[in-house]
Amino acid sequence: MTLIWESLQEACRLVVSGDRIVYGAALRSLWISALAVTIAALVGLPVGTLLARVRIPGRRWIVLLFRAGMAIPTVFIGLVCYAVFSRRGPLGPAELLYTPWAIVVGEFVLAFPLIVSIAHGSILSLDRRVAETAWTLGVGPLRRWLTYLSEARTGILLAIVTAYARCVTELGIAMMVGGNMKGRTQTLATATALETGKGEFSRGIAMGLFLLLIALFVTGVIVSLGREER
Amino acid sequence: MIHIRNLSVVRNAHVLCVVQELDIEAGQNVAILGGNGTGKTTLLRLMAGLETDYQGEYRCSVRHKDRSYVHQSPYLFRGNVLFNTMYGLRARYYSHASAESVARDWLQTFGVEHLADSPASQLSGGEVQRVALARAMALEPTLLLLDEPLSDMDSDGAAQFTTALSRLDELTVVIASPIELPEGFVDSSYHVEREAS
Repeated sequence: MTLIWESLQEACRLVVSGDRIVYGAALRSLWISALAVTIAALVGLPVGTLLARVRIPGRRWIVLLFRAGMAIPTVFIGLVCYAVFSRRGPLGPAELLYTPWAIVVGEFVLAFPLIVSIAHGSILSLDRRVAETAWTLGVGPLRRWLTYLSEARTGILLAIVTAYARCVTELGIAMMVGGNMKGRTQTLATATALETGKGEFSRGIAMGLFLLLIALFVTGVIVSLGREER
Repeated sequence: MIHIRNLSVVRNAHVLCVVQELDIEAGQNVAILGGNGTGKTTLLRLMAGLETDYQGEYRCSVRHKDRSYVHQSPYLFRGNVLFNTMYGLRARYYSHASAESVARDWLQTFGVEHLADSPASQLSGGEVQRVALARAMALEPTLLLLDEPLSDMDSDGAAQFTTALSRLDELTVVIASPIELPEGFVDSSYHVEREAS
């Protein structure tokens, strides 16, 4: 009990004093995940809308595939990305392994099916009159798509926030393709694991506190979205 | 303008609508009359281009962008009344200022200009119907298709609707209604009957 209490005190001191390692890992986690989720949203939202609105052959199977993609363990994504980026892999010459960009790619793979699936569900459950009204008012495809996103705003934001929460807290991808290199590829989750493993319990807790703060913030956003829906 | 012969719309072995013969000329105001489940809405949706699966002969010479359809329970998008009324106009590349001016003018015709800045979600059924009519008519369509437009409207609304119709020249109006419309509203009526499946 004393260990936890003392570690908590030390963790708070590290957070307040602006510890370079803690804040560095936190900032890196935030920008890597933000970039991965932004790209996943830019690609995933059109794909989700397309699957919800356009009859394409094998649509049911594609949707099923994306839903299954939501459950892929991060360590497996990390493994596949490692194989792709390793020296003998197809993208080996790009020398992306053990760089933040490799983590961005891995987290994109993690976020993409999640955003596609939730966006697809949200747009599919829209009132039929949304599409009909937009169409009968002579609105073109791009504006209609923006209307769908606007009308399904709560679900779309939920998809993005959920994807961000998953990415920022994931460990498997960052560990396998980032290599947990201090000052270069270390994220909050990998740093927490490393510091705890080294016996630097208080630093691990400080980083865990950051992760907790992010998780609380995301929960707050989800709750406020739910309130808006009512 | 619209020419229909031996038309039927069947879905899942269920006959939704049957029309033996119907011709609508440009500039006519026509009522489609019939009880619940007779296929009035289906016929209107077909004319709007929302139903494409049918058997028989159907021709409409009006381009899609010159048709406007208003649902029986119209849908207003998130945002305020002005945004909704400007929606179709903006899609037709009106500048923001000219779209706003046209939208406000039509809202005034329907007596709801004071609601321009109100969120669409806070309107009553009758107000929603007026805003939806203003939104559709602001586009100055050649063919206006209205599904029970007076169902939620009071007598003032009906009068405003008549005024609004007189603003558009060369407009053809097709109105679906379960009951006879007030005198002077339409030039002719067509009765649809329930068909045994």
